[in-house]
Amino acid sequence: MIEEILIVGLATSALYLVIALGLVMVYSVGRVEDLSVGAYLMVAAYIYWFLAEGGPYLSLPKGAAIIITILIGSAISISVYRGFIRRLLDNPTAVFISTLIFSLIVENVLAGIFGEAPRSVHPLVYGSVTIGGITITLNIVIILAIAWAITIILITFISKSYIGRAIRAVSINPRGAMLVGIDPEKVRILTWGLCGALSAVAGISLATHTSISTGMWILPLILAFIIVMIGGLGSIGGAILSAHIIGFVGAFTMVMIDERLRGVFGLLLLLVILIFRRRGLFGRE
Amino acid sequence: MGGNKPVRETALKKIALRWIIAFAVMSLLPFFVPHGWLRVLIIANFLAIFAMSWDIMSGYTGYISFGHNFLLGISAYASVLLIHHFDVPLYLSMPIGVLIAAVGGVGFVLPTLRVRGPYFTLFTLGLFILFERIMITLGPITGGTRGLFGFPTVLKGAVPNFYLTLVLVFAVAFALWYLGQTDFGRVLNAIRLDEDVVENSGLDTTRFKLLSFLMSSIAAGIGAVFFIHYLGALCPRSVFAVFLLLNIIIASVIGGMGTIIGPFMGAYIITIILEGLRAVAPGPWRIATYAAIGLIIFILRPRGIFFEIQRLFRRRR
Amino acid sequence: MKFKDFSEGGGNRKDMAKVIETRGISKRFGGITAVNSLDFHVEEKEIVGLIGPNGAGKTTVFNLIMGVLRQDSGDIIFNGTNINNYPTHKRVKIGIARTYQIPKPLKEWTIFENIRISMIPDGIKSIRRIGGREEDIRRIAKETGLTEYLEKYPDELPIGALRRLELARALANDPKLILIDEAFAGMTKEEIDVISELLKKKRKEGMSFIIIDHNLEALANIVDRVIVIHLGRKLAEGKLQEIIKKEDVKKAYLGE
Repeated sequence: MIEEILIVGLATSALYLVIALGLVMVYSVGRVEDLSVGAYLMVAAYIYWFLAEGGPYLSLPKGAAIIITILIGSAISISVYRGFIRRLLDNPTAVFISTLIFSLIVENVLAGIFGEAPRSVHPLVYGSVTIGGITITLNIVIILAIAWAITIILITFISKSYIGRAIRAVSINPRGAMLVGIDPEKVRILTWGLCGALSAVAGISLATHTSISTGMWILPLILAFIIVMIGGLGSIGGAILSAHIIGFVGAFTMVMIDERLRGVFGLLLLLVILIFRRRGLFGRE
Repeated sequence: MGGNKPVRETALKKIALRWIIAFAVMSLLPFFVPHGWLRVLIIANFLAIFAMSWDIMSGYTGYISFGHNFLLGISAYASVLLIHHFDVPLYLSMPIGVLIAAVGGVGFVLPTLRVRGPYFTLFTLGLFILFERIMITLGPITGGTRGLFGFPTVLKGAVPNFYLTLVLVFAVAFALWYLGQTDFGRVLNAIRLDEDVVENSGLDTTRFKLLSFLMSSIAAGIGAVFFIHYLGALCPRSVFAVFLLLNIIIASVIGGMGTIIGPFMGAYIITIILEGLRAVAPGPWRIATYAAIGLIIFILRPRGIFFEIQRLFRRRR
Repeated sequence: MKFKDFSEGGGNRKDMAKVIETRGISKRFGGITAVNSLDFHVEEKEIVGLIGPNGAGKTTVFNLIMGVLRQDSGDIIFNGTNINNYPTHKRVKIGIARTYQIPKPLKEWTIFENIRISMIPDGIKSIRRIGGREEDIRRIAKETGLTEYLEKYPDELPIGALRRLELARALANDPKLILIDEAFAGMTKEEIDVISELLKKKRKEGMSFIIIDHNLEALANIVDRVIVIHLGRKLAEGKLQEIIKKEDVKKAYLGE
């Protein structure tokens, strides 16, 4: 029981962290919250399933399916940014509302193409391993590893690379960045693309871990947002910690109490934390 | 936008006349439209009440709530559960439902008043999802996902129900519109523009927000209890659906946030779009097309249709 | 106990003359101390200049007096009453008003309405009554030279006029003390003279002012006294002409 909580907690925390990191980056360069991340995630999950297991027509190798899915995920998020978020950057409220409506469109388009019934997806890898008497599926181990690899690469990328520094420059002061020759618009496009790719990875992982359905965008979206809120907008360290709080609370609820209450305690936690600290645990005044 | 200055006495009479004409025209509808359409209009009226009640809070103050279903849900569940478990008569359970919405709305929102922007919106969305889950989990009491049915309705038949909802929607619309025209509405509008300036003008913004929440909760509660006792069946999907939340928001934004009349018109417009699409696009495609239309209108005309109509009239003069 | 009440209750004549007094107020942001145990006071009908280099903590002092920020320690006394626990709107109601360094007009409202907002009754009363009398608004507009703009929107106004709108909105609150953040920045010589005359007139009517400004020449014409702060501490206090001769002030101010 405890082992299950531990491994499910670690894996879901890492997955939500990946989504949350996308949100944090998008917020830092655009000062808006993109509620479409759940939609990016869901589209990616369906595309991966279609490419890898789409019946007689398509059954690409998993590696190829993953790469194509990530590219399409980036393309979608960039199109959403170029399509309308860019026009609404000075109005965060409008971004909130429009991206929520966009998510509804995506949900129904997918339901129109693939039907509303949930579909199961094969795991990335079969089999299980036993470590110290605990048996866990290999799939979840792989997910955990991928999520952490991405997180570490991303943090290094942001702190070390030129593009990473450009992203930070734009997040601190877009005008100043412009003065030193960085085009904030290019940086935003790149960041949105990165956010789409991160969501795509999370979508593929979620799909292979459980199943896909047209309602699967809501819970990851809310949980990723809770993580960002509790962590304080724009703080990566805070996001890592709060992802684990939320992940473990969720895993505990699922295993010990009731599968359907997954997310409820995370929400309660958010409510309590926001009551006492209105900028989250690590947000600044 | 209701003009730049508050409406003075003389203008008020002229506007009151417009309201009466609008009401009279709409009350003639049952003589011209088929009964099938009346049921559609009844739903449009409910949607209009929900959208306007959302507007007096979120549209005016800019505190965007994604948790309006929470208010609808607690009042609907309160009334139905009282009837189902305690045999409370309808005429008592409905006002109690509204009261619960008011108390619950203000009580839960009280701590969130300190929270601004995205934090507030997420908080309200959290509240809504939280309650949906709880209602589903409390199966033995609430009927779980299947819900409860077989409780009394207020009236029977399309025509009486149409008139009932018409009176309701006009009462709510007029009351909220009037509030929006007073200095109270002006202050809510100012809170959206710059909350610090309002506070710096010696106005207690917390109290204004609280009052607007209270009014929003009461209007939403009234809509919800009549809605649920029109349907005669209650399940989580009838009040807690994300689709309903989106309808409320799309109606408000394409009609024009912070105008009350805009969301009223918006509710009718989206109902017509949704019904019109029924023949063209089946199932999920219908909703996808409708949401896409809503999104395009919102992106191109963010201030809404009512604002554009006003501008058109002003230019002509 | 009675004895103590007498001494702290404001019965003392010297106390009565003080409109506002801060007693050792401090405010820290993270590791930075923006205001460091600052003591100062303003007397009735007095115009005090608050000067110091950028980042000295001047605006933070205003935010503390207005209750936008709460001090970590120390007391703020207004007219003999401790207002530490008063929210901003209550401080405004009892007679403190402020202007913003960067003008913050309500962009969708006309100038008339922008002035009127300070006269709207608070809470539920705002439903029944339309706040403000037109003649009062016109008088304030005339005093601040905004009459020609009354029906215009803020984005149609030059920056100097927007600064005067800030002052007009503060005056519309009918305060006893006004905190002016950047009184003259972006104003022409004529505008500065008009505002200086207005402030002197208002002082005669019983108002007090604290003014932040970098234009020492303009300040010299109207202030009775200046307080120099540097790194959150009070560096010097007294007549402007004498103060600016002091070595440490020069050093802090001019970075010599």
